[in-house]
Order: sequence, then C-alpha cells, then structure tokens
Amino acid sequence: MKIAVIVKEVPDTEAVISLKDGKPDLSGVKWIVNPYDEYAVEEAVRTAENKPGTSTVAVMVGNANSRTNLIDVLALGIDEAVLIADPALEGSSPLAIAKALAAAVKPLGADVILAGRQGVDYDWGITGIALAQLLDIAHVGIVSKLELGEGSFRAESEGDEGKLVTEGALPAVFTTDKGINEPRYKNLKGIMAAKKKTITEHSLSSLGLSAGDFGVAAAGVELVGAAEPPKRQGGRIIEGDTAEAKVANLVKLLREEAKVL
Amino acid sequence: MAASHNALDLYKLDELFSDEERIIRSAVLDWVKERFMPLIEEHYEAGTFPLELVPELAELGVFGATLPEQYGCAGVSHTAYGLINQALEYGDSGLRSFVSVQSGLVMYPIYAFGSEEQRMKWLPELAAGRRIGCFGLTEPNHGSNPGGMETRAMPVDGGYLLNGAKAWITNGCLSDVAVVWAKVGPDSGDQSADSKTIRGFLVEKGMPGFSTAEYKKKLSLRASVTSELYFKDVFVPEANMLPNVQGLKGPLSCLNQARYGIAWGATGAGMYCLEAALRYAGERSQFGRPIAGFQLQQLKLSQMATELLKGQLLCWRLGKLKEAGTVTPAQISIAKRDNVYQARECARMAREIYGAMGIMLESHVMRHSNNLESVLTYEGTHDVHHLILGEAITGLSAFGG
Ligand SMILES: Cc1cc2nc3c(=O)[nH]c(=O)nc-3n(C[C@H](O)[C@H](O)[C@H](O)COP(=O)(O)OP(=O)(O)OC[C@H]3O[C@@H](n4cnc5c(N)ncnc54)[C@H](O)[C@@H]3O)c2cc1C
Repeated sequence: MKIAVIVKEVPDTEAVISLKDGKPDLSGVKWIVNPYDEYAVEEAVRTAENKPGTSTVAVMVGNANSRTNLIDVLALGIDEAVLIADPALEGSSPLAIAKALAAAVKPLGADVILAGRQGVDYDWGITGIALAQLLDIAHVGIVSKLELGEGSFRAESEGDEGKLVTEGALPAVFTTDKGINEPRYKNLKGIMAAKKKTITEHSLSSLGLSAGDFGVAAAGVELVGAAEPPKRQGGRIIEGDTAEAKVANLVKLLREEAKVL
Repeated sequence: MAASHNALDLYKLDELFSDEERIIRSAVLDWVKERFMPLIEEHYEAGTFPLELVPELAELGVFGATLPEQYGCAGVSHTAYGLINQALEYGDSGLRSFVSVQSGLVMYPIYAFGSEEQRMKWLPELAAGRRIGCFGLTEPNHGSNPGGMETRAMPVDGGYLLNGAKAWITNGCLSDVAVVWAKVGPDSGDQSADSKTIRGFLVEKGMPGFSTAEYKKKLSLRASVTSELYFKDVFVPEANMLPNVQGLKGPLSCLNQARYGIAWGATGAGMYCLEAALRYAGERSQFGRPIAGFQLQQLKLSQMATELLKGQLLCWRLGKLKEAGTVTPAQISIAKRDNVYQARECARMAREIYGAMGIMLESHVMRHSNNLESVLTYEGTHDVHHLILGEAITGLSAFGG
C-alpha cells in the first residue's frame, strides 16, 4: 500500500501576528507543520507500522525554507518527501494549490491520500477536497477513525449531531480531524534517520504546470484587508450579599442595561 | 516544529546550528514543556525524581545520545547533545543531571573504557532506560581533591574486594549499576603514587555488602536523588572492572563529558528565567506602568540577555572544538564555570523581578536559582575551575595552596 500525506506550513500557533498596512505581517514568524496535518502524518506512520510493505510519502507546497519542516515530518517516520516550491505559487488560492498537489500526487499512484481537515492559518478547509475532485476519487472529511482493507476503507466522521460512517473503495482522500490518533513526539533516532531520506523538489514547470494559473492574479479572490478583533471590554462583577441577591442584580442588568431579556 | 526561542535569539545563533540540531532541540524542548513541566512542582516539593518519565526520555533518545547506533544510541553530534542539555535544563537542573549522569558519567566510561562485553551488556539497557546508572567519585573526605580517595579495591581470587564510601552521588539509590572509582592495592602512604592505581568498577545493585542511603532535606536540586554509597567487602568480579583506563584520567575524562553538557545546560536554565522574567515584567504594572518599562528592571533584563548570548556562543565554539577532537579540559572548564555562574545570576535577577511572586514554587525562577547552587558546586566547584584556568594560563598549579 502507498500512502501520500499532504502537509503544509502555517504560522506557529503561539505566534502573535500583528498587522502591517492592514495585512497580516508574517515576517519573522516561525512556521510549523499545520497541526491538523500532524494527525494525517501520524495516521500514515501508524498504518505503515501495522501493514508491512506500506510506503509513505509527504507532499508539500512550500518554499525554499520548507525543508526544515519536511525533515520534521520525515523524522516522525514518513519515508520520503516531495516539495513543490516555486515563487509563482505565492498567494495562490486553495484550488490552485490543489492543482499543484494533484500534479505531484498523481504519478505517485497512492492508494490512500491523507491531509489535515483544514489549515489553521486561513481555515479554508478546501485543499483536500479539491484534490480529490481533481484526481477524480472519493473524499471523506473530518475523519476521526479510519480502517483500511485491501482496496477498501471504512471511515468515521464525528459531527455535531452524530457519527457518519462511510465505506468505499480506494484510492480516496481522507481529511483528518483531532481525535483520530495522538501524534507522537519526534525522537532523536527518527531525526537522525530523516537526514538520510530523500526530498524531491519540483517547480511548477517540472510538474508540467504553467505559472500563469497560479499566484495572486489567478486566485480569483484577493485579501483586501484584515483587522484586529475588537479589544475585549473589562468584565463586571455582579454585586450582592447572597446568591439570590446576585441573581436578582444580574437579571436586572440583563434587562435594563444589556436589554437582552 | 523548528526553532524555538526566536524572539530572544538576538544574534541569530540559530543560524549556527544545522537543521537537524535545531529539530533535535525543539523535539526535546517540546517534550520538556508538555510532559515534564506539569510534573515538576509536585516532584520538587516531594524531593523525588519523576521516574515515570524515564521510558519517555529513553524513547526520545537522550540517554547516551552521542554514542553509536549499534549500542542502541542515536549517534548525534556533540553540538546536538549540548542543545539537548539546554532543553532539559530549561525544565530543571535535576532533569538535566539525571540525563548527564546516565550519559556522560555512566554510558561514556563504559563505552570509552569498557570491554565489548561490558558495552553490549550495559549500553543498550541504559539507552533504553531499563537500567539506571550512577557515578561514584566524591567521598565524604575528598571532594575537590578526588585523588585523595580512600575507597580501596583489594585483589582477590577472580576479582576485587571493595571497601569505602562515596558521597553526594546523583541517582545513587535509583541505580542498577554504579561506576565506582577506587584505588587498587594497599595504602602505600604516597597519595600521588596511589592515585595512579585508580580503576573504575561496575558495581551492581544487590552485590553483597553494597548499600546506599539517600540525602533528604536538600534545598537545591530537590527533583534529583542524591545518595551515599557504602561498600563493605563487596566482591566485584574481574569482568566488572573497566579494562581500558587507569589513574585519575579515567574519572576526569568522564567529568569533561559531563561538564560540557552542564555548560550548555546552564544556558537553558538561564533562558527559562529570562523568558519568564520578561513575560512577568511586561504583565506586572506598578505606578501605572509595566515594570518592564523601569530602567532598573531593564538593566537586569539586559544583563541577563547579554550573558545568555555570550554563554551560548562559548558553548557553540566549545562544541565545534569537541567535534574537531581538539578540545582541552581548560576550555571546557571556562564554559562550565562561567555559564553556571551567569545562569545563577540570571535566576536570581529573575527572582527579584518577580517580587514576592518570585519566592513561589509556581514561578519556577527560584527553583532554578536554588538548583544552580548545586550545579555551581558539582563537577568541580566554581573556585576549582578558576584554578584549572589559572594553571592553564600561568603554568603554575595552585591546587596544593
Ligand atoms: C547535588 C549534588 C550532586 C552530586 N553528584 C555527584 C555525583 O553524581 N558523583 C560524584 O562523584 N560527586 C557528586 N557530587 C559531589 C561534587 O562533585 C562535590 O560536592 C564537589 O566536587 C565539591 O566537593 P565538596 O563538596 O567536598 O567540597 P570541598 O572540596 O570540601 O570544597 C569546599 C570549598 O572549598 C573550596 N576549595 C576546595 N579546594 C580548594 C582549593 N584548592 N583552593 C581554593 N578553594 C578550594 C571549594 O571551592 C568549596 O568552596 C554532587 C554534589 C552535589 C551537591
């Protein structure tokens, strides 16, 4: 079995992102592997550990600095990586990213394609789904449990109102949710082994794609501005000697000041 | 996740490290923050080491990390080993001590001076954390002057009879194997001649006559177990003697490994304190403004940041010298001494910046400062390291007075 894992880089979830000229200023931000993709990576590594003969490859659309994060993924146990880096990709829409991914993934002949359910940067949640469409294979989203058989799968997705169970034939794309597994910590042996693994680099032209279909100009949507969320107003402590008195005061305030009752 | 302390990396030191070294540091640092930090307060107060984390430390691969893969180790560079120590001591000096002892003081001598059978028997077990080791050099009457040791190994049929005691031994009570240094043969009355007979012995838990006792009520390094070791006619088979080293250079070369790790480790403790102090000073307001805006507090923060930067540069260079195989004991000594001293100053300044909150366990900075009192003393006291450098640059030994 061959598993392709789609990973992307996002700004560190601990980073404080400020605005510059009305746009997010990402200079100096530390880039990490998208947390939802870590579940996809873990699922691939576990599957490979449990199914002898399984090979895994990570595919990333990134830039010249993305090798560190790909080494990170290789350190977790993925066998090899493909990096698609091209200045023309800057500012591409999720659909365009999916096109680049499809071009790189198709020749891999993967039975299973795993990706995070969404990136924690812009939270589009589109790339994995679009990739399935472009490859003309099935997609199952928000996967919290995945069982793989010979040429078939059974996936569970948690929703607000219940659990959805999907069965079907491989190849297919699965976008992973929290809860599908507990991603492991990297260890030193894995990191040392990663050094010896291959990262194949592609540009748009080496994938047979034309730069004009990518980037801001082709995106169809434009980020025109961003604003900080309004500063939270200070809270207010409800006065009163007893719990009853406090409740009475709260109801009064909700009615007279907040006017929500 | 890649590089971590970016905001405080004022000289872009990160660029000095390879991808792999940075990833190793962040792997250990992530583990320390997520797995170790939630437990440290409880263990520090109880005076216990979190033994429950040993399997995870082994899985991370930090025990004997520089040793070759054939013994179950990761085979990382000395610089990476340094960064591992930095990340561990960011958590607690006791955590770093545990790993330093296991790696630099137990696995290293078995690897460097042991027979192939000894290596194969112990190294994979120690790397996997299934066995714990300790290093017995210091004695009740001989600290800075280990050459004066009184522990003796008398040759008998098939091995040696060990008698004596070792003091202040990290992990002593927890250990399955103790690397014990002792003089072989009877006392000749000539200390310097006798110190040439020093040999290393692998004393195993349960050997008749071998016992340990724990030091309780320590005010420093509380999350590390420190013990006395007693040997009363302990029979140690010939096969348990380290065959390939004799004299004080055996234990001293182990200390060079561990001191190198300590020099790096101290910067980790300092880093924690600087980050914490900066955060607190930014959040705490007095006289209507954050205390970080007061010149006196900025002086402290600036001193901390500067010394940490210098300390890391020392370590980085030391790592390169070590990798080139040319590093000298005096070079290691400089970094051990000054980095630990500066880290203790950092921790004390952080404690001051925190005001009353600084004396609380939950603020962590005084825990670091207390720990560093031990680190300043063990592996050669601060003073002794001045004597080492003094001798190196004057050619005159001041040890005898
Ligand atoms: C928490 C902890 C853990 C330890 N773990 C280990 C371990 O695992 N294994 C091990 O073998 N040892 C261990 N040690 C022991 C440690 O290495 C010794 O404490 C250290 O070498 C100093 O010895 P001492 O305490 O006997 O002090 P002493 O040697 O008695 O020194 C007392 C004071 O005199 C000064 N002094 C000594 N000689 C001179 C001189 N020539 N000139 C000027 N000043 C001098 C010293 O600097 C110090 O200030 C540990 C110690 C501690 C505190």
